Amino acid sequence: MRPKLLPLSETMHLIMLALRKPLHGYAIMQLVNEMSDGEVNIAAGTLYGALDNLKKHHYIELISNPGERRKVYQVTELGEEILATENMRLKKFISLYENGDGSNE
Amino acid sequence: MNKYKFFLDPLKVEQWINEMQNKGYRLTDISMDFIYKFEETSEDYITRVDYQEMMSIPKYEEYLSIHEEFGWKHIRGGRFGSMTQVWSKKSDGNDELFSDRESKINYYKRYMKMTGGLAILFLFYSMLFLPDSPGMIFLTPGLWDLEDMEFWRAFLFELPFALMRILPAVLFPVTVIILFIAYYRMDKAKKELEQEN
Repeated sequence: MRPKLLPLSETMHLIMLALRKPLHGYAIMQLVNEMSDGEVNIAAGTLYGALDNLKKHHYIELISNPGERRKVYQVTELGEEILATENMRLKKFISLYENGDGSNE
Repeated sequence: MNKYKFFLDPLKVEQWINEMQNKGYRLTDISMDFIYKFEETSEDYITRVDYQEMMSIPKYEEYLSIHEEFGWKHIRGGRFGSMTQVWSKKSDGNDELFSDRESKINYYKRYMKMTGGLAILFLFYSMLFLPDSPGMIFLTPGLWDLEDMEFWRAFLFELPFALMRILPAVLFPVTVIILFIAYYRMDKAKKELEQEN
């Protein structure tokens, strides 16, 4: 069975890719914007909802101390595995685009 | 400046606040769902309304922190999920709380869960307060057998008490109707969103 939330939505996918290094909310938005060549501009509520959902599934974790105002997040080991699974899926897609039959040569 | 206004449609609140803000005002506070405080400003402010279910303290801190990082100021709300969260900021082009369809649909779903839950609760209460028969509202023994002046004196004397007895049975169904209207509006907005593209 597929893990939960897969395939990842565009927003969640970009957030997880950004969180391979520790980042706080606004910096996530900036990096996602950069990675998507300005196409994806995540709003605050969408970011909060996505982080909350990813955290619930243990794909990312809050790594800043509870007292700190700025909340810093990072991908977990499970999150890395999820990204590897998505990577495989997308590679398969690319081969479908390029070879038409899905064979890997 | 205080404005007193009550809305049946939760989506209209946001619209109205922003119309006021387009006229050179800025929302500073909301109390009790109908007292809106504005002050004059020469800058453009935007307000967005959100709804969240009850949050733990750490979760609430994350909720506030992330929105504040984006420049939003928390005008009203709390972590217990019994009221809307109202956010304002100086307009800068990124004036939405939600940037994809999934999160917008989730917002409507959260709102419907709240209004639907409250409506059912109030419906239950209004049924508790329903009198068995109209006569039960007036408790003066033999009231309906009295004649003319005697009747009117007794009737008018007890009327205020009778009204107090009947008030919950009137008030709660009205609340139920208000909540179902809110539910319907949210459901409609959600369906429109789902049909786009």
